[in-house]
Amino acid sequence: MVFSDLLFLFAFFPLNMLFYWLMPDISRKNRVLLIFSLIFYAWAGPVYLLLLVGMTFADWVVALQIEHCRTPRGRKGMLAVGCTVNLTLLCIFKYLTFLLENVQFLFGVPSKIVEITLPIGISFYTFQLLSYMVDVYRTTVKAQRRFTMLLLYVSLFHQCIAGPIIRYETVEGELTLRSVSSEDLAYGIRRFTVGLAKKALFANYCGSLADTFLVATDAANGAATLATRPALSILLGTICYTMQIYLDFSAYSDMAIGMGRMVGFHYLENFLYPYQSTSITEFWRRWHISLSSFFRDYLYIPLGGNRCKRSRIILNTLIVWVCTGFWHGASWNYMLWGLFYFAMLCLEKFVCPDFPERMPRIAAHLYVLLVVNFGWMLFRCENLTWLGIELKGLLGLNGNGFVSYETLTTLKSNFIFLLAAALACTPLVKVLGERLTELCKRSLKLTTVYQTILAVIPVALTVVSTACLVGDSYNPFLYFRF
Amino acid sequence: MKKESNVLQEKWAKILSVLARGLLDLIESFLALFGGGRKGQEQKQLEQKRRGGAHLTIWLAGIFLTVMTLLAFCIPLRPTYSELEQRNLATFPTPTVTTVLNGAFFSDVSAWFSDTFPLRERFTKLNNAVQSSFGIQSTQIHGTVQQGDEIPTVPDDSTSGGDGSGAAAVAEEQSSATEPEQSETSSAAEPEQMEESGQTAPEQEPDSTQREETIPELDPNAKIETLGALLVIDDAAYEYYNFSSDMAKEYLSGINRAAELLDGVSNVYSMIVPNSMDICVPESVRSGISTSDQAKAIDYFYSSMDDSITTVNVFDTLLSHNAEGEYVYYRTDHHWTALGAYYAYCDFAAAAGRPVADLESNFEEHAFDGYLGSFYRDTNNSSMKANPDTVYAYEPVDTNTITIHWEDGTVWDYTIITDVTDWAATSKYASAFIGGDNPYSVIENPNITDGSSILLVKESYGNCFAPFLVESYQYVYIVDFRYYSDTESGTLLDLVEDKEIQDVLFLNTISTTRSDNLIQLLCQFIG
Repeated sequence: MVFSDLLFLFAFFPLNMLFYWLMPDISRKNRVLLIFSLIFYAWAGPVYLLLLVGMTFADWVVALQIEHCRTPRGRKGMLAVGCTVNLTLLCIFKYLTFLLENVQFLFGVPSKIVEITLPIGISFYTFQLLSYMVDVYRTTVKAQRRFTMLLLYVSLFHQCIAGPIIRYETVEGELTLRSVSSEDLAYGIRRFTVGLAKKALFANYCGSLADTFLVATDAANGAATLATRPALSILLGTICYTMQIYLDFSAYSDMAIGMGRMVGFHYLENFLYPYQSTSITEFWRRWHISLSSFFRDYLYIPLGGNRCKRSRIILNTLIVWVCTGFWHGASWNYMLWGLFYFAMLCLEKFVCPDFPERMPRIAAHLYVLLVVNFGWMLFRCENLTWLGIELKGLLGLNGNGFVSYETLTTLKSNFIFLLAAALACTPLVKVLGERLTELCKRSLKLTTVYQTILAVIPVALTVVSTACLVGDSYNPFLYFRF
Repeated sequence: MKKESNVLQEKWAKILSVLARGLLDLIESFLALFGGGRKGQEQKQLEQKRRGGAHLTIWLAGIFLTVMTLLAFCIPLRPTYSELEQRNLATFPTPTVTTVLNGAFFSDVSAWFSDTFPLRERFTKLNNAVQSSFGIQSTQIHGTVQQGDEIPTVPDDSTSGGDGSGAAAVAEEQSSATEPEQSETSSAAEPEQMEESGQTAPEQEPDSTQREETIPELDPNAKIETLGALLVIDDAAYEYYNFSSDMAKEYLSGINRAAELLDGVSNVYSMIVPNSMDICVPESVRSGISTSDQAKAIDYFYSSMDDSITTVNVFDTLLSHNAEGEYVYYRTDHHWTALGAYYAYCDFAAAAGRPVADLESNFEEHAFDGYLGSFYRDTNNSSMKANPDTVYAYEPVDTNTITIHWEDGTVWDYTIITDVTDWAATSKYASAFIGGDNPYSVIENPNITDGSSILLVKESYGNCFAPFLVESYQYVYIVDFRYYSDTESGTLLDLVEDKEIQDVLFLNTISTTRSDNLIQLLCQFIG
């Protein structure tokens, strides 16, 4: 199940809220959340629920042991055991097939490769569990005594399968003590429906436009078709994909944050309008914050962070970006994508320090968008041959010229949408909302109008989103393979 | 008893009080938001209004969600069939141990839930309305445009049956390669099958409800090839054609093999019909788009065919009649009209040395308006819907009876031209002519006694063409090679020898000549 499933919107979620609301106290409310979360997870295949519960159980025991241990060595040993178990399982389920394929390619053995289906959300919940154990080891948090509580934290359907990666620290208190004001509930509703519209109205259609301008990644003889696309078509296609991936992923975070708020959880923001950055360093402070901060706190800093020799810093950065690349998928293009960002960050940090800041602002924006757009090109092509064709096409080297009738026609019939989608990637709406709130402080009448509009918007967005979801069979959630 | 009723009363009281409190809260939030207040307390009022707004948000969303959820669970409101897409919608899955364990059952439930969502058509309409505001959409590209190969200017001799051995080897290879897939490919669809997947049931009193029941479910494993990319201009669409040299070779070797087999047995004719793209779209537009030149492709095909084959080039005929403003192609469908087929028939009959029947004196015209064809279904375009096509059908005066042989061996007498006035808007072409797509049919003209006979090997482009042949031949045999494989009459040569057929016409739309599936089926029939 995904949040943009009609079954989720008009069966699972309302039932969840109804039962949650009927329960008189927090422990029973938690029980409702846990049961619904387990159903939600099991929907993708009940077998993998065992993995989720099993891993959580193991880590629950390990964390208690860490806390129990008196000697630093014992604590470290326990932590090592926990981390090894988690990372081994992650590697087996996510990377073993890929590894064997490469071994087979190089050495011809093994002759047969087991196909392992990726358990949904494993990359996200493994990282949550890791952060929990490390935090217990660092005594930032206390180990959770009750297994069901830890299971609730890990499996909570708001974030379990597609993030954000929430630290135990963030929700520790709210697991047992939280309250929801009517403002919280209203905010949650708005946030959720905005995310839904971003996904159903914008991201999905951006995706189909990207497929039109480029070619669908699963199309038969797609490479040949891609080779016939003129330069503008490829450029527009990559731009559409760039917008799609932001709108899609940030929509998921919006919905998670919104649903959390409706039951009293305050999850941290995961995206801060990354496409308005003026340097790549800044971009990574705004993009998928929960992931980059995870790597910062649990990998980069333990490796020594910035407080060491320059060569060591570069090595640390490299390690972080290799991991970031592979975290996104078991395929070489993700690795390339990670290495590309490693190179860009090194460029900004060491080769010509802070050069984006010395550029005119507009040039800096353009620079970031170009780099990011190129990055998503690497990200989209799991097949490296395609990447070559796409790059050549972008430079007009496939002999198809700059523009074709088809490209212009598709552009013309979608330019209003493209503008709207581009604006949806900027904080424009948010800024407008803030301005209006300010204005309203001076006028009661305006407040009435504004508040009424705010109340109607969620319903309107849901109606339109439902229409899109019913009318469109095109509905893949991109972040699923992670 | 008394205690129980007390408990019950208490419960009701509780529910009522919750409802009452909810109602009060709703009224309160309205008052807070819309009501005025005393002067000098602006700050307090602002705060109240903001609280009222939050409550209103919650109430509206809550009521809406409740209504939608109740609606979603109104099972009788869920559609089971989509007229527009001409398919049965997903059904609720039956759980088995395997599907429950691997999650397939649950994903099927999700698919069922959204596929059959109540008010589906309305939501789809709203979605279209939203998408039509995305830009200037008088002209649109629909689907994935695929570039065609370069069309050779010199004939391809390798597939010609001249020396025989090469072509025969290729053909044999193909037929052996396709045989194991026979059952799969016979259900596999092609452009035409999208709408005609159910062969029209030749019931004597057809009506739309009966028709729905006779539409079989699509085989979920069938390799369905959809229409190629479409160029949509206002209320008309045109299908892209991409020449494929590999497919062309296969097609040619099949046709040449047929000529070789029938050498000395009967006369072989070939007609490749262009689609509307190159006939109806002005050169000024067409020159800029990535569609292959169909006239050039047809020339290439004909020049590469065995010399014993009489080729009938109808490209210029169709072009000139279209230029005169005649209605030779549908706007909302990928077929040609019966009128277009008539002009092609005139060319063919002349080439075959048969009498050419006059459209007015030998045929009775029927008009069925309100037709929305495959282009409409593919694009769901509102301009097309506002301006549907009319299906004109021409009934031969000598007979309107066709004998249809079904795959399962059943034999039906049916009408050549069927009155489809009351049939679904999207199935008029598929149903009006010769009972739709059937494996094998025979028409006998009682007023011609010269023993003349023709075998028409066709896909759905041949459906509106076949009735004209009735006025030129005593016997018209019709084979739809896509469905023929399961019947018992044997392959091409068996049939021709058995019925002592004089003329054999291969009539194909140009789209067929680039389709792997269709060519395989055609070669299978040729043998």
